[in-house]
Order: sequence, then structure tokens, then C-alpha cells
Amino acid sequence: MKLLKSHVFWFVVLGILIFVIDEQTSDPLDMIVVDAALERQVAALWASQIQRDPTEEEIESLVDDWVAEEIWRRESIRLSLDEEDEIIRRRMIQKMQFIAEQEAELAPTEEELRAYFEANHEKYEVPASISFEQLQFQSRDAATGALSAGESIADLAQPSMQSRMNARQSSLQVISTFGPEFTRSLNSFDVASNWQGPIQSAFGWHLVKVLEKNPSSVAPFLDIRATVLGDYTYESRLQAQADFIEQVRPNYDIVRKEE
Amino acid sequence: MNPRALTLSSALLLAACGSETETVQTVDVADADTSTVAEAPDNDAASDPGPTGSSGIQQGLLTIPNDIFSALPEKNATRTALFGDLHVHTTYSFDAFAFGTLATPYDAYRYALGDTIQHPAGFDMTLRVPLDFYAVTDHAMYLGVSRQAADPSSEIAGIMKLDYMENLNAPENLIPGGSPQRTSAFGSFLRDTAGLIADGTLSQDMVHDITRDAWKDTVAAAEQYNKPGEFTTFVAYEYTTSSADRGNLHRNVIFRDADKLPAVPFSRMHSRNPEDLWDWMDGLRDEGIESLAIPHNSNGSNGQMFKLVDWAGNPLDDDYSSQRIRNEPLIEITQIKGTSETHPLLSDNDEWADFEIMPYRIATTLYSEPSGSYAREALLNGLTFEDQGMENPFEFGFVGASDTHMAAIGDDESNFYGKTGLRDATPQLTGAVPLSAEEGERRLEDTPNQVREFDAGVYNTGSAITWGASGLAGVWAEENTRESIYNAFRRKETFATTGTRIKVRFFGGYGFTDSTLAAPDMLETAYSEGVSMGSDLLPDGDRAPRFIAWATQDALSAPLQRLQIIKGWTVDGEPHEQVFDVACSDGLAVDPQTHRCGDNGAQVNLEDCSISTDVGAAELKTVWVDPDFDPSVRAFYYARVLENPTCRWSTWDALREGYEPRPDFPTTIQERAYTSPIWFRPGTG
Repeated sequence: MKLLKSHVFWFVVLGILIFVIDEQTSDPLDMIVVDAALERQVAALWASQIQRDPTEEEIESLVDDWVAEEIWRRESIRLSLDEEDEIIRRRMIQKMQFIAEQEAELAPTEEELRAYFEANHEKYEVPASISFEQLQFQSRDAATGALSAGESIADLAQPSMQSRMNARQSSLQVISTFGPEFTRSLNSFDVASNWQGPIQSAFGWHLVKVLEKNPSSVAPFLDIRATVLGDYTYESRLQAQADFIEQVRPNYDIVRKEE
Repeated sequence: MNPRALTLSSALLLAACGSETETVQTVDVADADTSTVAEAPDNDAASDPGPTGSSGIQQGLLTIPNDIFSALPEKNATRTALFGDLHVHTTYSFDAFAFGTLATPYDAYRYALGDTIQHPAGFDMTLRVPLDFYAVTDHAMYLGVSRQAADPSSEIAGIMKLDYMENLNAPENLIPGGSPQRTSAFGSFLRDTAGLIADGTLSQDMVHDITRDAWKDTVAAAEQYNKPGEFTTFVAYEYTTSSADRGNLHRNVIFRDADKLPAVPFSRMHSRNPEDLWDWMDGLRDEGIESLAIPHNSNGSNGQMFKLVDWAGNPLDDDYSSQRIRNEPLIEITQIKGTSETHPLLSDNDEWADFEIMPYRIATTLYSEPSGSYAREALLNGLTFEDQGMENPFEFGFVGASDTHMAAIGDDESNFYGKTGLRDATPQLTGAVPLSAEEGERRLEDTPNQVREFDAGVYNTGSAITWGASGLAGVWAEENTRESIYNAFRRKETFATTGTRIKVRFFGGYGFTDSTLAAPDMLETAYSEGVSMGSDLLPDGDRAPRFIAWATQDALSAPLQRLQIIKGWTVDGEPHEQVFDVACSDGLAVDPQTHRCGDNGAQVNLEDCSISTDVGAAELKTVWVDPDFDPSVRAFYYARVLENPTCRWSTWDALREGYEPRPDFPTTIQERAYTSPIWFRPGTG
């Protein structure tokens, strides 16, 4: 029992105890640094919301709030609350994707953009269209008869609900107005300055003047440069993300577990 | 600015936090990063060959820009039918966002031009044929705020902290059906946002900034896609108000131009009283900003839309009526949420009145009272006002629209996308086919009032099954430009279809004969010697008016069955109405006693939705004289044209899934078009 009365003994025991506890819990103390940069940051945020600069006291209180929030944040990390949180997960993924995209060269040169356009013509196709005039008649004979009337041909036509002038219509548009039979016949005509037909629709017989036929074509690059740039940028970003994943995936061992 | 609009009602939702009395600011669109603004063609209004319009708006005639097509005439004086939709919601609407919609106003316009866009559930949506005009009409209240509240990295999400909004439309959350989050985003978002503003958590400035930016973007999208001569867009929005009993009082506000606009749209957050909206529009008009408002879903208004007292409960006076009709020359008569023409209880002698009737108040399953909710009755009441020497508040024309909440009108019965995104994304959700056995069992237990059980199983039975694949606005315009189309709205030279592209003309006059119909210059004659749909017909002694009614079918839909004229009149204050068949398909005659065409026998095969190919007409055309005409009696006339029957969308959906159509809803419909009325006004000659 002599030992229990020994100051040296207690000195050593307590010393070991403090060392062990300290080692296991709070060494080094979690440090929260408050510096001028932080003060400027909270003050600026405050000013943007309240529309004036904070006073010294207000800054002090803002910093206190910030410190409390920082403690909340670190305590939550201590409990690993960040690991199961879908919002945080998504936000971090977003940030990482953003970094990966930044590393890719996003602004293309004019040559690159043109090359992309050339390689993706099918995206920029303008469908075939036809421009034509039509006159409607009661019967095939009336239409045929009108063909010889020259200038006054329109005076012999009957009133039509459908437009006389039809500019740059796709086949589908013509079908929806005049029906498929008329559309087939119309498409069989070449561009000509004279009236052709008669051809039949659900509404009667028609003479048509085919003014213009535009085959399906690719829009001129300069007309749609902005669209092409948008598509290029979007695809480059996806490509950069894919490249990044491909690059770092070997660092991971993906273990699939049954049940 | 009218002082009444400035002293907004103290009942404002936001009054608690000092509702601002904002003077009108204008967005200079040229500054708003919209470098592609198309130059409006010069107004060449020197000559006006058109008919006498009933409105005071000058009919400006435009020249087609040279770069369209050199062979085109400068204008079509006898006007061309153009089709469009003036009621389209995108991701900026709080409810569309709650339904999973991510499509922007830009996507909406691309879709109208024929591009393919995505439904929130992931499938493609493409129009059969592109449209001629389109207007995005997002809900003004909290425009664009939902979208930001759902993005956890946005400033406002950090302040609002609405759990149900967090990542609502992230890819993994875009699942058909209504999750509790979606239900809250639709049902609680407005209330919660107003609450956060009221208790000071959320600054009104922040909401205002988001709304203003979303509105600017809406304007920029309209400007980007407006191509005079080819495709017209309108800057527009929806004013979404309702009565205390949840009667629907919604209106779409359409602006004629885009060079000068209000900085933010007037919403129910400014006032729930539509008369305040009209004050605001009048004030803008004084500053050169022309607009009109189009009420919709009067059918779901529980008698409020066309009631005979004003917001405060006083009888309608001339000031009210002239202000209303100045601002609201048109109404939507058909859209996805049902027909607003008339109701079987109001028109018991109209066998076609029972068409796509949606019996509920909007966004509820509460019954909507028919009286005061339908257009034909309101037109009749309008005559009664005139009989008493008063202004007519209901002298309106008709348009159709979709009210899609996915940026994309689905006007095709065989390919109907529904209206509420994820909430009605599958035939099980709409109720076209039965729920799965387990789901059916559960729903019978949990929500027995929202399902019905038949042999094939348990069917969802909410409002979605009562909806229709409708509709379109048709206009008769000289050319496809904002000015020409807007002037047609003002003249009310408009018609509505239930989705197909039926074209219909309607003229009233005194000199029309059968030979007028066949003459090559028939349209010139009709315009110069008569009036077109939407106009007043003045008396000519005791002569009976003669009407030209003329319709052609949509070549991609069914042929026409019959052409009708609907007459409404009053005798000693009593309203009367009569449906006259005036032209029949297949050489059938109208029975002079019943005023009905013989049966053309058109059939639909419910096994595959095929239709009779040997009956029906591509075109119906006639000159009609009212057999009961009395020169001393005030009356209106409008034309209605009916297609042969075709499968309803719910039948198409059932067929695709291998079910019989459900037994408690119509399996077929008759697509139709309605013209704006012509009013005969005795004693005004």
C-alpha cells in the first residue's frame, strides 16, 4: 500500500492516463481558423443580401455564426452524415464532372467545328420541300378545258378552301392538306412555268404550277453555326466525362456481391 | 396606369409583406440578349380590302418579306387558314414542373415547328404536321421559382428548404405516377412559398428577380423563333385566378408585339380579381402595349366565368361589359380539360352537346355547376343585355387550345400524350386500362372514390379519363405574321377545332346565292358583300340573312359528316336555341321538320379503330337561309362541323394494351370545329 501513497507513482499513473486519453480523443484539438479572409467573405455575403456593409459588431456576430456552423458541419462529418446523403453525393459528382470538363479543351477552333459539322450532317438536314400554286376545278373536264384559257385560267377555277400559293411545304404538310393521292401526283411533276395536271384530291381536280423543288439538304454551316457549337460543346463535355472515367476506373476494384 | 390597378386589393396574398405598387416597366428586348429579333415588316395599311371588322383595331396589312419566296403574292386578301396553339406550359410553370416537365419555351417552339422533344417519362413527342403559330403561356405566379427551388445548389433552395422540392426532377426521380413529393410540389408549393414570403423568410425581391428573369427568357424564346411569313410566336402568359369556391377564372394574356412589354406579368399574386387584370391591360394599352386575354375552362368555373354579377357581387353595368369585351374578345371553347361550348343540361335539344364533358372544377374532383360555365348560354345572356339596351359583356369569338403542361400539344387521338406529364403518363394512370391486380386491390381499399371496378379490373377514375385530345385555334389571316394573326383575333375571325385541321368559313349577308358558291371570285364577294365570322350583321329591311357555311376535312383524319348552324335568340327575355343541320354528306337531305341530316351510316371498328372508307365528305358547302327568321329578333349564329366518328384516345390506348375499351366512357367521338358567331342586330340598320 506504500505505493499508493507515493507521489511519484501517482505522477506516473496520471501522466500515462492523460497521455492515453489525449491520444485517443482530442489530440490535436480540432482547429477552426478565423482570419481576415473569412471576415471579408462573411461581410461580403451579408452586404449582398442587406445592401450595406456590416458594422464591426455585426461582423463579429457573423463570424460567431460561421464558427457555430462550421462546428455543426464537422460534427456531422464525424457522424459520417455526408456519406449517405443523396444531395451531397450529387453535388460532389457535379463538381467533379465540372472539373473533368474544364480539363477538356471546350472551345473548338473553327476547323474543329466545321469538321464536327461535316461528320454529323444528318443532324442538320432540312427536309425536302415543294412550292406550288394550285387551282381547283369541279371536274377533270373543267380542269382540262381551263388549260387552254391562258391568262384567264384562274377565272375558271372554283373557289378553294386551300391556299392557291403553298410555299416550301414538306410532303407531310401537303398530305395533311390535299391527301396522299394529290401529293404523289404533285411530286411527279418537274418545276415548270406552265400549269400542269389535272390531278385529283379529295376536294376535286386541280391544276398545279410547280415553282420550286428543294431536295432534302444540309443547312449551310454559317446559318446554323450557333446550333452546331451547342451540339459540339455538349458532346465534348460528355466525351470529357467519359474519358475521365475511363482514365480513373482502373484505380477501382469493383466487387459484385450476390445478395 | 389605371389607379385601380395600383391600389390593388388588400386581400392580396402578399399584402402582408407590403405588396409593391409597381409602375409599368418595360423590358427592352433588344437589350435582353436576343440578337435574333426579327425585324417586323412595315405596316402597309394604306389599302384595306378586308371586311368591316367589328373591333376598332385597324387591320394592318403586311408585305411578306422578300426572303421568304419571291413568287408569293404580297398578301392573300381573301385570307388563309392558319392553325396554332395559344395555351402551352413549360418547365417555368410551377405545376408543369411538378409534373416532371423540363422542356423550356425554346423546346416548345421547336416542337411546334416539327422537332421531336421528350415527354417527362422519357418517350418522344412529335407533331404529325407542324403548326403555324404557338404561344407559351406559363403561369405568371412564381414563374420559374419551382425550378430553382428544386435545385439544391441555388440560393433560393437554401432559403426555402422545401424538402419535397429537392431534386424533384433529377433523372432517377422521373417515374410515372404521383409520388408524395410530386403531390406536394403541385398542391403545397404555392401556399408554402406565399407563407415563406409572408413570414419574412423569403424576400419578395428574390422571387421577383427569378420571375423577371424567367419572363425575359420567355420573351427571348418567342423572339428567337418568330419568323414573319413562316412561323409566328406570341409573348404570352397565364393569369391563373379562381373564385373563393375554386371556380376556375383562368385567362391567357397574349401580347401583340414584343418590342415593349411589362417587366413582369400581372398575376394572382397582384390580384385575384380579373377586373384588376383588365385595368392593368388598359393601362398598358395607353402606353402602346396591346394585349388581349382569353378565358379558358369556363366549364370548370362552377358558374363563375359567365356569371351575371361582377367580382364584388354587383349586377354587370356598361362599364364592366365594355371593359371586359375590350380585353376579352375570344374564349377557349375546347381544350384537353373538356368542352366549354354547351352542356346537355343546358342544351337538351342538341344531340351533340354531350361531347368530352369534364364535370369537375379545375384541379379538383368537385362538381362544377353548368349554368354560368358554358359559352352558348353566355352568348344568349349577352343578347338579353342588349335587349335591355345595355352593353353585351359576352360578345366573344372562339378558339381551341391544348393547355399542355409538357410544352407539346398532343392533338392526335391515336397518340395522345395526356396533359400532366408523369401524373398521366401511362394508360393505367389515365384510366384507359385497368391497374395491375395488386394496385387495383390497394386502391379499392385506400381510395375507393377514385377507382371503378369492371370485369377487366380496377380502373383509375379521376379527371384524366374525362379529358379530350383537343384542340387547336384556327385563324383566317392575310399572312403568317404577328400582326396579321393578332388582327384576326381582334376581328374574331377565328375558329376552334378539337384537334384535327378542319377548315371552316362562315359569312353572313343578303345577296348570297348558290351561284355565289360556285363563282371563282366567291371569297371576294363574300368579304365585300357580307361579313365574316366574329362580326355584326346589320339588318337590310326585312330581308332574311343568308349564310355561306363551308368546311373541308383534315386529310389525315375522318371525312366530314354534317355541317350545322347554331342559332340563339331571345323573345321577351326568354332565351332560345336551335341546331340546324345545313349540309349533309353522301347526298343526304336535311329533314325540314327535324332539321337533321339522314344517317350516313359511318362506322368505327373497335377491333382496330378503322373507319368506314366509303361515306363522308371531303367538303361541305351551302348557302343557308334561316327558316324562322324574324327581323325584329336579336340573334347569333355560328357554324359547327362534325367529322364521321373515330376512336377516342382512351380506346386507342386500350387497344394498344390489349384491352376492350372501358364501358363507362364513350369509345368513339366526333371531332368538330366551331366558328366564331355572327350577331344579327335588329334596329341598328
